[in-house]
Amino acid sequence: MISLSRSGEDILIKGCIEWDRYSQNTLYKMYCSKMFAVCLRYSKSKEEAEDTLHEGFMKVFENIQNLKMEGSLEGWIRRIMVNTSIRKFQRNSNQASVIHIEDYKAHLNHFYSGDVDSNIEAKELILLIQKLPPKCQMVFNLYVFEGLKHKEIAEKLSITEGTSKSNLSDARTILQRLVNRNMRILKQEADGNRE
Amino acid sequence: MVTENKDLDKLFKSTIEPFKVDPSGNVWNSLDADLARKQTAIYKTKANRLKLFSICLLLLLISFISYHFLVPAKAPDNSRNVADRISPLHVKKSASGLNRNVRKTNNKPLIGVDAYSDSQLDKTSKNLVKKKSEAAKVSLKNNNPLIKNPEKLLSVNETNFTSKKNNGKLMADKKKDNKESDDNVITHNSKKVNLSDLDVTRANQISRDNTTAANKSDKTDLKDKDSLTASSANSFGKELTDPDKYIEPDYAMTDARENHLAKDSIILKENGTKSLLSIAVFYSPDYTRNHLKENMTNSEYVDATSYYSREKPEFSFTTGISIRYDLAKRWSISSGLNYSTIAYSISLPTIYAKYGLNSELHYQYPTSCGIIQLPNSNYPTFQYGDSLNINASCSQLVKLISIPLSVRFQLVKNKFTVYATSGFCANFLVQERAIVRIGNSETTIINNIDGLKAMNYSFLFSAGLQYGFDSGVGLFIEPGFKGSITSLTKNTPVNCYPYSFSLNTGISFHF
Repeated sequence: MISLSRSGEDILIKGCIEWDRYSQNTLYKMYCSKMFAVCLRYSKSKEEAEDTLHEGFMKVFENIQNLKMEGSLEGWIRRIMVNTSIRKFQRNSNQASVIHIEDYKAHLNHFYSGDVDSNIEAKELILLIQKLPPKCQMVFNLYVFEGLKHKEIAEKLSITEGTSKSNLSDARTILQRLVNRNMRILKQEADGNRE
Repeated sequence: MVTENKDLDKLFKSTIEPFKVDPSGNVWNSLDADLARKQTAIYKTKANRLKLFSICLLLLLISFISYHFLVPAKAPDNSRNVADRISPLHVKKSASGLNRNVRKTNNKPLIGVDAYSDSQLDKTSKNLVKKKSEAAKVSLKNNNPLIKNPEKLLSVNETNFTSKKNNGKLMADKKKDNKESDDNVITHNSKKVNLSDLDVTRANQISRDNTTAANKSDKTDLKDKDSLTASSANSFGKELTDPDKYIEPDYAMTDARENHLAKDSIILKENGTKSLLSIAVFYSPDYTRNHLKENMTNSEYVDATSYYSREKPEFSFTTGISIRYDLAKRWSISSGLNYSTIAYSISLPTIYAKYGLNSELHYQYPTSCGIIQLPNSNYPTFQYGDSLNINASCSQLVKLISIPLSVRFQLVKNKFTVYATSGFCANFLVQERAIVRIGNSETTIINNIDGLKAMNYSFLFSAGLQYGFDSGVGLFIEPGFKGSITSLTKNTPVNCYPYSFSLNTGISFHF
């Protein structure tokens, strides 16, 4: 990962404003891995995350001249990635909203009985998040990682505050059970090894 | 075991937050290709802007050139110039004689002078008086029978130099009188006599008879101007009452020359009666929409397409006054003062309490033309994020005063004038008004809409048809398009660029 001082960052931004490809590539290399992790949390697959990353960086380069130097560049890029993910979710929201309640229950049961990798690491946790129902995934991400309140989430996702709370609760329930299950497996494995 | 929600959140946040993973190389490759495409598009846009700018400059340049070279300029107040214009013909026809002598004496023309200014008219009139007196002298001394009715000629000539309006008629009269003169020569002398030769003789006689102690001369040249003027003054009264004793002046004027002078007279007439300024008043019903762009720098993300679905344009209009200045026959520039409105009706299911630009907490009604701040007196808020889930409708009206500056090209100029206009416009916000209806209550909010800019710029194109009456009054109809160059809003989730289709109808007065 490349790290730059504030003045170095300014030069890089200036280069990007002038549409200098080298500067754009440097900026991309600086933040792509971090932003890809963000995109993965909001996506259902690696391909979808890459698509979001691509779209997000295009917006970054197109609007970098509007960047106010008040906050951090990373924070600004991250916000664009999140907004791009939300927009993508909203585009597909009609599809997500037609899930019947029976299907939804089946979806939950699938997670409860699913075989999850015992090694709880970031990758696995991201995979767990990716397997959440779309709205639950979005609400959980916005609440836990972006620190938004339910009212803000409701406004962003065009849902009611109650729905936001309900989705977060569902997401937590699913994730809690999955994590506990994995931790039990880990403990059993550890005990077996000792014996 | 993770039992608490907080523990779960902490586990996910602490584990995932520092996590980094590289995407595949394809992402940069596709990004690079898209950036190249975008770069090309940007260059094209810049090139188009440059073209547009160049065209505008070219139009201005053409207008400038047209104004300076095509619009007939006033001739300088220099009688010598006027004399020079007719001297070649005059001298050519009368190789020697009175005309040449008089020109030598006065350095001024005697007849056929197309005067352009009052002072020149005065000077040429004086010359005419001298000519008259000179002719009278000749007539009195020699009792020349050649001219039957010189009074008519002289009076017509006088009219020519004192009245611009009779120029066309004068040419016809001159022709007629010249013909009469020729007829007279044939009738009375049985053979055609060269009038200029005759003039020489007469001039000699004038010179001899009017010689005083101060200015005696035995030559034909009338070197002393004062003597001629004095004799003219003495004899002028008699000449007018005794037409038989006049001699016809030498109208050494070809038909081509006469036509040229007649043409000049018409131009003079046109320039003298028409002003370059005209004024028009108009009214136009407008169909106004907004082009919206997401403001990526704003902290709040809002999908711009959601605005299109919930906002409907209402009746808007533009009215105003414009002043046009003709640069050339086809080109003119115009400016003025316009008053216009942009009206929408909006429907929103839920509104939220947020901090406005004045850092006060209000229920906010977001629209494409700014964010309406609902007064706390009607809709009290307790904390950030409070929501009202009542279907709230709103009528928004933005009032603007505009100052346009445009260039007009007239494609056809007749009774019907077809023209095209292009230009720019500075729009100043006068008032913003919103009427919000929530349930049964209705609240009117004036000048409390966050994010509206005080001024923005627009471009305008239009094509029109005008019917002109003889009195200088014209009726016109002018469909047009006006689009914003700069956003009407700032610091809002979406940048708003209003555009409108208009149908200007009005009346113009050309002074």
